[in-house]
Amino acid sequence: MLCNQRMRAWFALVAGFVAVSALLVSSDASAVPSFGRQTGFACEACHTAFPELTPFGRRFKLNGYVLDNMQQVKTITAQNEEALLLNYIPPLSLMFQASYTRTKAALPDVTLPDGLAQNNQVLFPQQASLFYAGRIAPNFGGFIQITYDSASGSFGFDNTDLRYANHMSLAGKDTIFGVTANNNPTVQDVWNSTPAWQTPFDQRTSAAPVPAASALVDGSLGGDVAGLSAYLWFNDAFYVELGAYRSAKQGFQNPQTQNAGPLNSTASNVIDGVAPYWRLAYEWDWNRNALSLGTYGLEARLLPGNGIALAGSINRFTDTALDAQYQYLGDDHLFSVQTTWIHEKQRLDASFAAGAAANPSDTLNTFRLGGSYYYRRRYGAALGYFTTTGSTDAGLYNAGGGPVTGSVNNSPDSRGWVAELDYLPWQNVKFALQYTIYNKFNGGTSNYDGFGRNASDNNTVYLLAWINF
Amino acid sequence: MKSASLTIAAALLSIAFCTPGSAADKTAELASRTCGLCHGAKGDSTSSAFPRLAGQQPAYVEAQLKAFRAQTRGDPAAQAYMWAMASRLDDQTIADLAGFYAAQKPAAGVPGDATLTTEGKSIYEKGIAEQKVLACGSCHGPAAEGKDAIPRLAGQHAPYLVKQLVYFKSLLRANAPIMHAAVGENMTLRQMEAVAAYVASK
Repeated sequence: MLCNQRMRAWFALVAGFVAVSALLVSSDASAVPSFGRQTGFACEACHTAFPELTPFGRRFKLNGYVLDNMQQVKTITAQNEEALLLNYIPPLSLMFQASYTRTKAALPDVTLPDGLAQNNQVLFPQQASLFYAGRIAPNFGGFIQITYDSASGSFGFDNTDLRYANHMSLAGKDTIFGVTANNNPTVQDVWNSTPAWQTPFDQRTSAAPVPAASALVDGSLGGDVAGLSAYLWFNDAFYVELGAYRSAKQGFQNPQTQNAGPLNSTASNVIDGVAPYWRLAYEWDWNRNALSLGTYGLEARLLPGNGIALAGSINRFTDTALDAQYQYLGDDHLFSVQTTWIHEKQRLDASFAAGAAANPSDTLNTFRLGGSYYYRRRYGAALGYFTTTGSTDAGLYNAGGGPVTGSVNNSPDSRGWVAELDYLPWQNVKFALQYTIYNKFNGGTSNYDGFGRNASDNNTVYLLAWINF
Repeated sequence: MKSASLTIAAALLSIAFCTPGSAADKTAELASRTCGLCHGAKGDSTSSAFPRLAGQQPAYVEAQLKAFRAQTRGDPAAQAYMWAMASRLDDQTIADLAGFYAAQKPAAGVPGDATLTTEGKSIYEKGIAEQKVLACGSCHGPAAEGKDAIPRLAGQHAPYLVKQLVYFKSLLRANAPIMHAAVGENMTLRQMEAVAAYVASK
């Protein structure tokens, strides 16, 4: 990584840069052979078992995805500054997921009251993605994912993180400073204990019901926003980031301009102004161990839209969260634990006034704790516990949601377990067998939706083939 | 007040965006910011997955970097990490990095299991005649400091050393034939752990 003397150019770049679009922010896939092609490293250098990052993998990302060991197209200016640094071979890669999903009870068929939808669902692909992931210019790299989603049958922009990073000396300690432009709060994070890349909860089937309620920072904004944040990684241990997000919706067409904007009342949940985002974390590394503790959060003022003009009364969401991760990275044995707790305070002035919420304010708490073990990076097992609890609100959660997705008890509460067995015959191929158990789903255990479905009816057997190349 | 403003000025000045420097500066930057991500900023790695390089014999570092570049050293970690890292290094950079690490202060030894260490000391100093294992000290030096292209072993991570001995025995690491023939071929795992514990403590 060479010195970059063009600080003014850097500021101009950052000031002028707008994060790219996103529509689908689906299951994560930060492990990409693009980086392998650019760096020449085997997957194990940066990952325990993809997508979880090793300490080295975290530093690779914090440095802007730029570390490379391949031939470059390059040139310099007459003032001996780097003017171009492009990989000869673009760091492109692909991801393909195929899956089999079975829920304990087949879903009702929505069009025929007494019919059942097909169980034992096969998806081929469930999801497929193309990545450009790697260096774009000196000190500037990106992770850009374009995903084919089987539900929409189309391609869209998925997780995207473009960043500039460089080094400076702060109080005598080497410090990375960087700027990231991205479309999903926590996609830019390097620990697997925050929502975007949280293991072992990252892989979910696309063919089974999931609980309805989740906090805003817990993936709800992904793909609908563009954010810019600045970070420092001080003395290889302390991370601080501050940024803000603004609505940037994919697939929106303004009926007057016939173009992609501006957003108006035909959109819904539009951020008023900007939504600040913050993140602090500290990592201790000793011998084969890595322990990190952190906090993160988001505050968003949402204009409901959806027929109402984008002005006036808002719903205000304040998310504050804690997270922790521990990893043991042995030669034969890998073990890691991740946990996060998100507290969301919802001040629903707009929804309450409109009768969409029964309470003027609600809370929603999410907790996840999971661990995984791998033997020789080939055979693995994971276990996780998840729970969401929140205010009862007959406006937000009710049986009007319909079979499977509604809540007859007007409650967002859900909890359960995930157990998984993994087999990686090669470092870039993973087969997973996952079982999810719901003790509670959308506020109830038996007949939670008012149409006779029990929480355990959503218990899911999920077989996943995930290949990256 | 005066000292406060001086402190602030010093702090601001210390936010020095990188400046072009001498070849030595560039080497130090490469070593600390790139190699250092695994090997430690000054070659004193925290993880025993990555060998300590501080104070290592420069001829040995050069030979290994060239072996990674030529892919003649092919143990698993070499393939996963070092083939890539060394692939684009030129001879001058390799020599400069070797010189950088040679100049770093080697880490102090870490005491290990007492029984293993005692056993290891005997193997290190006298070898194991009945198993045709040479005394390590006859090449690596009485203080395990190494010489020329023979590496310093003193203070190295014991698990890393054991792995190398295992790889020499199985020939997964084949860039030092003497290590297989005269040492590794006949040592048991426990004997490897013993001698590694001994030199790691020096």
